[in-house]
Amino acid sequence: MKSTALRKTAFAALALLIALAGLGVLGGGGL
Amino acid sequence: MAQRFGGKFSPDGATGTTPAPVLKPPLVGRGRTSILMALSLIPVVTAFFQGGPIGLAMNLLAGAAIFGAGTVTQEGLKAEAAWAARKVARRPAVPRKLFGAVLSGIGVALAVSNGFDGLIAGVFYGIIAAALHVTAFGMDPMRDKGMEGVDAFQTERVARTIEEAEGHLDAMEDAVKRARDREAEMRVARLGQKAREMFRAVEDDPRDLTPARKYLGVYLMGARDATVKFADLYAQTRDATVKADYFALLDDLERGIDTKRETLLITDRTDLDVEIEVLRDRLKRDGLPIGE
Repeated sequence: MKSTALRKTAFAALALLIALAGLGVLGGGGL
Repeated sequence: MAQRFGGKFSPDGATGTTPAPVLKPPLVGRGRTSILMALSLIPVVTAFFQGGPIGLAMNLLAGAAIFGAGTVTQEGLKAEAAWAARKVARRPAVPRKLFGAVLSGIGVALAVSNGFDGLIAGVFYGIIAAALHVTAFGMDPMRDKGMEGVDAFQTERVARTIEEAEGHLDAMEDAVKRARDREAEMRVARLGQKAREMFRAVEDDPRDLTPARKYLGVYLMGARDATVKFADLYAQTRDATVKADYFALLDDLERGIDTKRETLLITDRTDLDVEIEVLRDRLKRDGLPIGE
């Protein structure tokens, strides 16, 4: 069983990623 | 889950010893899936500032994918909770949480890409998002539980029958709400609790299915139909005799379930006694000392 702390951190990171991706902060140009 | 006031000191509250019905525990992780659904709004809003129809479409799709990820994951969590609550369970047919992770990945990839230029970068971000999703919500239960050492066919039958019986109970609990009578709701909840205890007993020993089958099927179905009729009639008439009749039926059912459970345990006991008897006879015949 994974620890809840790890799950929470992973979720926070996912939420941040979605938010930044949605706001257009990430990406922009190609690789 | 919220519950209206009631109890010993309330009007028409239960007098004396009625035990409180056990409520279903709240779903773990519901808050997080809701956050996920809320986050799906961001790409939808920014979609209109992308300066191009492709960007608009991609961001809208991204929002849809992320919202879908939230919904599918929530269903997955429900399925997992149901799987965990049972002693005998088949694994969920569709790995919903995994689909949720894939949808999150697609959503993030689309939101990042913003036109076709950033597609490669988007794919990488998407993979990261899917991995984070799996870490955050875990994997789906992938194996059948409680199926070892028992006849697979029989266990399958048990799982299916109990699923149906749960459906009848849910329908009953739903229907009785229409009667707008707290006492009736409590009584139905109590019957549900008793019935669920019986489900667990049958899951423990699938051989009990045959004797318990009537209670899981016909009787519960009858009780459900009676509940529907009662709720409709009582909501209109508020007739006390109708209520009394209905409660008498519930009483009979509860008593029936109690006795049935006891007889199921007794048969288990007899089975065990027979096993012991046979083995001891054998030992005696082989000349081994036994304590008699």
